[in-house]
Amino acid sequence: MHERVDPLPGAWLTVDDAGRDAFDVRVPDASRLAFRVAYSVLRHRQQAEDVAQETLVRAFRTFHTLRDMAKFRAWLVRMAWRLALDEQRGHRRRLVRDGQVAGGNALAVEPAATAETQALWAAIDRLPERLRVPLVLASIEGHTLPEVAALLELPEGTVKSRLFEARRCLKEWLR
Amino acid sequence: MTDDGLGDRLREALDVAPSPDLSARIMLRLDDDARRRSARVWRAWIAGTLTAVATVLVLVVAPRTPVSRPMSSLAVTPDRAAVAASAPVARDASAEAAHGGGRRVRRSRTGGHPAPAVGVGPEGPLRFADTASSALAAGSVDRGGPDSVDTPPPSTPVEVSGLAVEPMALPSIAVDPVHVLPLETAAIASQGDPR
Repeated sequence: MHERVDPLPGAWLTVDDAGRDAFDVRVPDASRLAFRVAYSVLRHRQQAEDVAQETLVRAFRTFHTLRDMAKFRAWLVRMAWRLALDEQRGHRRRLVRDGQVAGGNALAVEPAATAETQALWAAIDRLPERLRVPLVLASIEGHTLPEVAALLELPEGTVKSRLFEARRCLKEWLR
Repeated sequence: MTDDGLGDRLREALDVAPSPDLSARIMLRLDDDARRRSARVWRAWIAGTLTAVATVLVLVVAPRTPVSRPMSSLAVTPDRAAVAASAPVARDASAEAAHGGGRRVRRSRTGGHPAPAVGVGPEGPLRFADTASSALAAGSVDRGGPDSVDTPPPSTPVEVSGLAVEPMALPSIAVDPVHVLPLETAAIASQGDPR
């Protein structure tokens, strides 16, 4: 599927072969994770794939600075989340600049989304970020509570209380 | 997250799979990024090498030019031409060999910098040191001494209301304060303060 391009001489000055191989084996899983995190923010497939690509490229450039490889997924989630938020703000600014949205409160929701899904997304958008991030991470890829706590580098009790509060808010707003 | 079906709804909304070729596109982009970074590193190496070569050329070739001849070759001697033709070159070559080559700055009375040119002689531009030494040798310049320096006479203590005040050792410039002050102030000073 993918043909590896031989690196030019001098590439060892930036990323060595061992680091490249260690990163390459993580790309399939990491790309899916980055895409889902980005999609949970952007709700647009193409934009989420662009953000996932950018996340992996940036992660590749700074992969050698990561000391604890066990924190690779958490590191990647934070990077993807930040880049997705940046892309979301940039998209809103472009819409406002082009005069398509007056208040700049539009997301590029895919047209195939049902009314029920759009209502759910609207409710998720109302959540503050400290509640939204654990809720989304717990919902994608079946992450358990300890996994979400590890991804966010928060105590499990904190994540549990935030998830409870997020669910309570959603149930109230979707009633 | 399974209470009241909210967890299922969330999973259904978020369970979106990326394109099957997303990983392949990312790998291609990583290769392209590595290639561009590698090319950038090569360009930086080439530019650095060229800069180093240019610097070495400037430092090695520039001292050989006539503009930066050492001061010793311009010394005023009867057989100046012969000395300039043989001795300084050999001395410079041995000094450079002893210090591993490279440019050396010769200390002189001008602090290591070549003296400014004050004229043109038969062997090139004459420096101030040449003309000064020539003039000293000819005796046309006052070398200085007690007779030639205008030193003020030794000052004597001045008696002011019983106190002996030692005046400062200033140049003997006689200034009459009455002439310096304005007329009104001088008149007040001569008559006394009305207050």
